[in-house]
Amino acid sequence: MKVAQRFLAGESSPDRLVGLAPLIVATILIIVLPLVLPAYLQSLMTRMLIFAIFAMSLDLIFGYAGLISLGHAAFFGVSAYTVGILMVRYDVELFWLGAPAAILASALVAAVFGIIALRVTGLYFILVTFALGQLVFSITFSVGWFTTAGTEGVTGISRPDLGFLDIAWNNRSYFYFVAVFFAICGFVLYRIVKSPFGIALQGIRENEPRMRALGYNTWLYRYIAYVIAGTFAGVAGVFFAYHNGLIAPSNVGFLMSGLVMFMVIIGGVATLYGAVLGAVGITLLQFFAADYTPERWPLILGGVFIVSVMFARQGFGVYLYRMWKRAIS
Amino acid sequence: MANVSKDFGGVQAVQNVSFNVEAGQKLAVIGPNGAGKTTLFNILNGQIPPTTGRVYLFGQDITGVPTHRRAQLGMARSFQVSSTFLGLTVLDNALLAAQGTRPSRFQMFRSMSAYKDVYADVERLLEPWGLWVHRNSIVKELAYGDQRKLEIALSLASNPRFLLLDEPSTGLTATESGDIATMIHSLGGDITVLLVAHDIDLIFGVAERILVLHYGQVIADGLPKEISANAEVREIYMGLQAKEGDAGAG
Repeated sequence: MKVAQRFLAGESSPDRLVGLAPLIVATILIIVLPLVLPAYLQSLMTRMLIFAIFAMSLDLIFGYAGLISLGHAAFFGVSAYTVGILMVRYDVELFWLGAPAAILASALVAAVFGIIALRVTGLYFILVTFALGQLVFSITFSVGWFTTAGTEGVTGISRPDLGFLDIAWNNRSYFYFVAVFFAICGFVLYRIVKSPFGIALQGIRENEPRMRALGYNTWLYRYIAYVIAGTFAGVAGVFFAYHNGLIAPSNVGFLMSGLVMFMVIIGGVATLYGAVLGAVGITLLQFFAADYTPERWPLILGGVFIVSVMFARQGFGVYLYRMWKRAIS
Repeated sequence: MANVSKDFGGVQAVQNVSFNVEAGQKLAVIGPNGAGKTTLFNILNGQIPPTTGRVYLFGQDITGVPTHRRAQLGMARSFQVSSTFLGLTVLDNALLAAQGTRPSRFQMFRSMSAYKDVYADVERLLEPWGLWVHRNSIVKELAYGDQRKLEIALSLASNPRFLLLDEPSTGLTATESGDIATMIHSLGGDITVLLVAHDIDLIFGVAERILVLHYGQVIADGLPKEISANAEVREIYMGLQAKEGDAGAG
């Protein structure tokens, strides 16, 4: 109905269709590729989508609200560990119990961390988020409860029991399962960034004193954004734990926070599609580079980062988007 | 405001200033550089707390009330140095300003474009300034004069009852400055305006009352014609201007 009205009003419907083309292509790829690719690449695609959710969640606070958080992996880790501990220690295999509990745990931790970190701004905010991230890292590292079977992480996480849904797990079905949640997360985050709330976040990023003078409680906006971002990072953590089968401190620490920030920067800051493309690109790069030279792949990542910053400063996602726009106009 | 003082370290920027603006009055605050005008302005708007004294808005004590709450109470300000959202479009700037005092500012799950009434208000706001045609331009790509106009327009977007204007005509041509005077005249009689400015034409064009600050103290307060006849003000203010003129000529 709405679309029809817009069409009748001549609100450039063909343009809209052309604009939606990348989304349609991506949807087709997500549906078709797992049918033709071998199982190990299906697994790689799952990883891409998990990191895409993670990168989009960071982009909400980093890109839209302009808050540089170096501890975003903490929320990813809290939920991944919650899923793992619940399953391994308490035999909670049910997805509908484990996942909400884990996501809630991330949201709660974000609610507490947000109060601490948002007391300061700028450089100090970066340092405090870094410290809080390392706090989570060191707890998982040093508290025995968070390690199982003599390893340094939680091992033996299997894919969840879906209760009423009878799905036989394999790489392909798990990919589609994650893809559904990726689509939901992408849609919800898209709605948020286009809402008055999302535009207000950008206003706060651009000019906080003005926003206060206009009547916005800027602290509250940042706090809400921080908690939302932590919650969505938690969603990514849940699927990561089920996907990876084990969760270790290295998945929670600074390197993980840095990696996801790379994804956002390389893909394009303050554009959700950029975060997704960054996640896809870096995951792909990580996979093949690690295959080629397992120890030195960070070197390759660093090289890509430098090249990307020099030649596609706003992110290669944005660069691709502009090329696409030029191609169709 | 009553008995307001502000110390910055050892410097008393504002000393025991008290005054009362009647609802609907257009008051101008003038004084040489360093007289404490901007400090006074920031105390009124809540950017900085006064060291001593109380601030009232419509009879309500707002001394400890944060800036964003003051905006909800009907106070708006413009900034001396244009303080817009440079990376956003003119339209987004105006939408942000118009939405600031509406409950929908916390709305998270509806697209901004669904708020047709806000769009209509924004069009009414931008049209008189000739900014509606530029609505899809990024602000930093606008001409300086247009950025200045947007600055003023943003402060009007919330339909304030008490409007603080900090040097609104800075960097504008005489014609554009005249537009600002027309705008202030066109404001309803129920809107109180406090104007800080150096622009003598603008001040004497719009002010119903003038307050003169010098070294943080009120040295004169009265009708424009009383102020222009006041010997002390002439000496301090105009004398200083004459000196500046000399320096400029030399």
